[in-house]
Amino acid sequence: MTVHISATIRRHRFSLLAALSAKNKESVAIRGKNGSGKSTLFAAIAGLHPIAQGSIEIDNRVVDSTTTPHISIPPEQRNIGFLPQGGALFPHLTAIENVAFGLRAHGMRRHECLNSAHDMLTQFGIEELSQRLPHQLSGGQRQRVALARTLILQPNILLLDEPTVALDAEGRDDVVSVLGDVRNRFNGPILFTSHDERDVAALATRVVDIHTSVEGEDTISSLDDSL
Amino acid sequence: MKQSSPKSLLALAIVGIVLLTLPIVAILVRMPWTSLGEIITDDANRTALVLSIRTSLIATLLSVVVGIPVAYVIAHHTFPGARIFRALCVLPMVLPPVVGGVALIYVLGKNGIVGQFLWDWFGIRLAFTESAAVLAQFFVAAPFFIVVMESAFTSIDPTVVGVSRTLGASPWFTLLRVQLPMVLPSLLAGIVLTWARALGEFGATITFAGNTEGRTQTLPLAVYSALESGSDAALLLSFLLIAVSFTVLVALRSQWTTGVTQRGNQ
Repeated sequence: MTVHISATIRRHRFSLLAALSAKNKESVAIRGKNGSGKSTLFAAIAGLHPIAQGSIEIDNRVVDSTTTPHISIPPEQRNIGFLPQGGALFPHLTAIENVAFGLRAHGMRRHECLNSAHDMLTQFGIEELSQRLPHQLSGGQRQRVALARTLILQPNILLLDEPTVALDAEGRDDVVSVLGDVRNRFNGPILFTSHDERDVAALATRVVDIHTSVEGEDTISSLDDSL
Repeated sequence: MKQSSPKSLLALAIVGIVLLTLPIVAILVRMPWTSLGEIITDDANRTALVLSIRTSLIATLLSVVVGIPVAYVIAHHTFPGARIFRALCVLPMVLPPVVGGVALIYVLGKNGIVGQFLWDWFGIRLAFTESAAVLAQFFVAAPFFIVVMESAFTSIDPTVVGVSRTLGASPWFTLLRVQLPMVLPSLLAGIVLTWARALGEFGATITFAGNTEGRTQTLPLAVYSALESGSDAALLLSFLLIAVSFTVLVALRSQWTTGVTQRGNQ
């Protein structure tokens, strides 16, 4: 499993020029200031934001290309595990319904989905929270549920956007330890962003800085079009 | 904690409350309670009540079926002329209803830009029928539903919608399982508001559907006719409209607040 991005992504008046590759078992930390376009980059890889130019390949399959033939595979057909900031759990669904959601969307029967979701919650050590709604969970618990919801679909790659942001010390340690386990078990590439150097040190096998070229070919630069 | 309000604000609030409730009180005070049974069992009045409820419910259903897609499109898509399109869709909300009725005649009347073809090709005449009453109510009430739903859709965090897509959900699945359940309170509020507006519709209905007893005379039109003929029925029919609206408003409100609380306590 590999991911290869060579694209220009525009959002408002900013352009992000990204050239980045990651392969199996790699865990790449993407660092950059607030507003430098990290979340936009992830949205583009997930298919939630169009690219202005270039291409994105996942597992040797072109999912975005601006050259002819123009390709833009919709997000639901990319099989990308995307964990946005704060987890973005569905507020009207219980923890177990959140985890089962993706299987339901793929057409699996309700009770089978709930059985699988229960197993997943057990793996993440939170099966006793299965009937709670997101607002009844702590920040760390919400991230566990969001990770379970993502991993139940066995995605090709994982995108984690600031997975430890806005957590208290206990929640942060908890999530970092869970992420460490996920990293060890997950076979595909992991891309993650973090402001916290401790997360980078604990989880990254490689670091890419936005604005700066690091380790040969991988560069991401964020340009203000108005300058 | 109990919050104390400035005295002048309190005085203005009392003025507002009196202005809003006094007309209702006046109807209750002047009601000829003894002839209540007689007027309610009167055939013409019963027909008007049944017609009103039927047409307003169909108009509300129509508003929901087309209003959700319209609200979804104007909340999520930016296309050339989107602002004009949005303004046109909600324009009937600020138009005098009688203008809406005139506009409907020029679209669907026998010589209207669409109506003439309906008549020539299919022999269908909409003006001055029960369908016209439904369309008049829809035209005036649907924008309320669209405005409520547009603001509800816009309030949803786009990241949650995006995550649903990355989890394999199509835009339809996301709409039905994520977006609509998340805006359920707004959806119910929009339905009640739209229905209340349709039930009370007068200007567009009398212009486009006429005031034919038993066919297009809805309750508000019956009130108007009764008032013109100076009969007590105007008071009683008004009371009937107030009672129906109030009951549904209270019933629905308690039902959805209970639903939300139960869900929250799980």
